Amino acid sequence: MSLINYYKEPAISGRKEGVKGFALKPICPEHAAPLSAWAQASPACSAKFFVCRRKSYGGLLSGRLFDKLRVSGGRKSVRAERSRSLIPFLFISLLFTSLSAKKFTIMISPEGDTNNSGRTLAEGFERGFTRQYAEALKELLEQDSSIRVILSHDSGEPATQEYKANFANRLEVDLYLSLNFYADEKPSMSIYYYHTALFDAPVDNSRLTLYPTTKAYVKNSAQTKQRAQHWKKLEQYQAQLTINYPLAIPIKQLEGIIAPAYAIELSAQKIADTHTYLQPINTILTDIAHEKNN
Amino acid sequence: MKKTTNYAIITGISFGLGFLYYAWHAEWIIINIPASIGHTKTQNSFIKKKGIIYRWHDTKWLQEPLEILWGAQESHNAQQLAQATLSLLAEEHGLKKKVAVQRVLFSPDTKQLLIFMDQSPFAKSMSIRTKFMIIESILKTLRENGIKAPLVNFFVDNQPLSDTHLDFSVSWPLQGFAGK
Repeated sequence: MSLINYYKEPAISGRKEGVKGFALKPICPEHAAPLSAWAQASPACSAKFFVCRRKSYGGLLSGRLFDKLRVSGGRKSVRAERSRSLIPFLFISLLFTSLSAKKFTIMISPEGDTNNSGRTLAEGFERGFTRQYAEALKELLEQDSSIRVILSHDSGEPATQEYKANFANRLEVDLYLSLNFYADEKPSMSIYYYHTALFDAPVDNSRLTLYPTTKAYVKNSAQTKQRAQHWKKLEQYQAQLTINYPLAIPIKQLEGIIAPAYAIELSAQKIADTHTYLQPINTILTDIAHEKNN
Repeated sequence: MKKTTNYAIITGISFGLGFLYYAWHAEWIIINIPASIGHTKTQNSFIKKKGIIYRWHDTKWLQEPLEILWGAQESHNAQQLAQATLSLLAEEHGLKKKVAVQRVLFSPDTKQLLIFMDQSPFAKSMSIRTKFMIIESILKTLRENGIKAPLVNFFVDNQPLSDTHLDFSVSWPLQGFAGK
């Protein structure tokens, strides 16, 4: 909201308290056009909610927001009144605001939980590596304000694949990422997405259809395949690490996930080795998020 | 005198025949009919055939020629091929376990090939990719040597092969996933 500029309207007066003086009329910072909703007269008021004809802005809501300033004829007088007619307009504005501000949600599943420590690496177990890497990746990804990252489970929590799939499907995440580590000295990265042999049933949205959990992927399989192309941009990192491009296989870590989902397997011996993969994966996920948001 | 001799001969022959019959009946004597021996030989006849075993190494497929006993039963041939692939991988690909393929069966509609092993061929420390390429090696060896079944299922102790990463509760296509 701090981006919004104001210009002064000629002095106007209102019959109700608090609306004397001048009015501030906000200008859209992007389109340099006056915003369609008027602010209340007091410049100290923090209640701001303006709707440009081309873009909406969300802000604080207060009772004063509902004060409508109305210029009556050419008499330069303003009558402030609590208007009910503004409420639907505000709801619509809110709806637009929430839609335009929807973040791209990525769920990261660091493999391993309290019941399963995973594979053994030189400096500990896979569970610890995936957790630390997932938290570092989350921090890096969330530097982009359009991305929200959720971890599938806490470190001291048991998490079955069924639990993680339910969580991801209920949240309707935009992307699901399963992180795996194994012991190897040579840095390498392999990417997988889910596919089984028996059928790629066409999804008929016109009627209800029951699918086994192993077939949950079919709903977004085309999108998954299309987004998998982004991983090919990793070739710029080929000098640093061996990259095995996306393979579609029946992999348990992605079972039951409806959203486009990828499993990444990285090689490492020490925790420090995991830093090699932060930037490449961050680049690809950010690309995918921006493509979706556009 | 002559009559007495004749009686003695007839009695001897009757006794001999009776003894032989009793010996056969009591299974002291087992008679093998030559025709049935010939039939058994035909059933178990094998020919030596050159097969090719495939294994994945780094970024390419390597081929290993191998002489195998090729029989009339395709399931037997599939078993030989799967066993040979696993043995080769055990020797050269760092598989620590010696896995035995116990039997291979076709489903009644011949669309599925069921491979039964005595233990999992995967070690816990293996990467997903290594495990995947072991399975792909078996599938490629089978299909390149003429085994025809669109789907393959893997079993250990009569249960679907259990692994942390790969899902064997579903059938794997003989064509494999690597080509996609």
